Amino acid sequence: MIPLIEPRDYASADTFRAEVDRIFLRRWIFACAASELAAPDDYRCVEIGGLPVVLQNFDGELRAFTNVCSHRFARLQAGAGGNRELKCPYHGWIYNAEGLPYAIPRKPLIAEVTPTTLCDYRLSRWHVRTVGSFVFIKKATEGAALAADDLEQQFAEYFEPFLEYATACGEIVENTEHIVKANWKVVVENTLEGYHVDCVHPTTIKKLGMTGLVKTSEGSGEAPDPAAGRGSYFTFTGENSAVFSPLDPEIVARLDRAYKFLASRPQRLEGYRHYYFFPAFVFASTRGESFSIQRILPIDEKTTQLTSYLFATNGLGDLTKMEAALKKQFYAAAGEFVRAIFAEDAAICEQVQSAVAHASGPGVLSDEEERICGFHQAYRATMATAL
Amino acid sequence: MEADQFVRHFENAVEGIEPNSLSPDTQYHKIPQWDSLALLCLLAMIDCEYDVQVGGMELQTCDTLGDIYKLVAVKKRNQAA
Repeated sequence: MIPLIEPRDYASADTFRAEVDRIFLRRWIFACAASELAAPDDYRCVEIGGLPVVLQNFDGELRAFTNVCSHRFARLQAGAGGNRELKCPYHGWIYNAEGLPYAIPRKPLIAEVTPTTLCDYRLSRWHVRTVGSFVFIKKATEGAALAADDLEQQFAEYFEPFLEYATACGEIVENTEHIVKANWKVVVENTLEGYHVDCVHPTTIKKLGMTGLVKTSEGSGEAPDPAAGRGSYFTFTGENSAVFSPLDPEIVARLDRAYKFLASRPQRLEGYRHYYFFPAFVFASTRGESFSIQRILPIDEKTTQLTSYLFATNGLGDLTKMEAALKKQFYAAAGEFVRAIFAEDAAICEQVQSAVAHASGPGVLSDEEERICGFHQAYRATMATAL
Repeated sequence: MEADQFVRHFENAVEGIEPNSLSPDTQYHKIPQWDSLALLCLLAMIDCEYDVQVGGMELQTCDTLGDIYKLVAVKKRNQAA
């Protein structure tokens, strides 16, 4: 398979600006965990291609706005998140759930701001949608209603399974942010193939005993079964793709015996599942024991913000003291495992970025990299769409 | 002896070990059942039975189960002080 994205598009500022306009401002983007916005005045900040967005809890109602004060353009909320009202730190304008400045210090001195002109100072609003444990945002199109049902369309046939997994997520075990000095597409492509595992993750992922790709008749409905020669397989829907990988049955049996406290988990997946939702969201789980989320957002054409969450499963019921201690060790080890993998992936992505502009040809993709091909097709189709 | 009791807890926590088959002189990292899973079970057992947190790296200074018990005992004393 021949890649559809040119090497120059991984390092071009013009391409980056077009991607932000055509892709990132027109899709649902994972913003944060719902538990991070649980209390009134909780807020989270997200930056999408340089555009600052704030999500805010207004007495239980979640709203998102462009994070820029209408008065003198200061950022309303700073940092990754926290708890404070939506108040500009510069001159103290306070905004309500409608994005209107309802409290303006010494307002009579600003003749232009009257009850009839107040709407001119309304913050730009974003759509907000909560699915299970996750909050998504999408830039509101001017004049369009705040309809949110196109999240289902964007996730296509994966929406239903995603919803099931999303409701099985328990507490956040780990939440980390990495700045990767590589184009966002390099980071996405790295998540979409297992071909690099032997070289990049010899002491981490490879040790899990995952099988490589074994081509099966697509859609045959046969579960992967290494004993029967059926290994990992891919599926595609809309702009998205997934891989299902069985684990070594001996390892699975040992895990079941060692981690009996996980037996009541609501999602008892066979093996490892990894979903990619174009353009910036990755959702994965090993056996439904833990759930890993990644948000891949471009900062500029050569820098990407990779935010990751690790969730424990819910539904474990009352645990004995020993089970609770084992659960703590299990998720601590899972967090350590995820950190090690991200460090390995970040390093190789940065190596790719340092060389991609000097590529002498379009490159090539193996069958194991078919999901990259799906990503390229979605990317090309979106970039060719007229705004 | 308390070290013997620690060994009994270890045998109970790690899957596949016969009761009363090990002693404080056992080099834990040489037993056939020792792997990353056994490590997590050991750390959980220490947390549960002794209310002490031990990191995986700290075990690198220990050769035998008795050494681990001494490490736990020191931590427990420091915790109480």
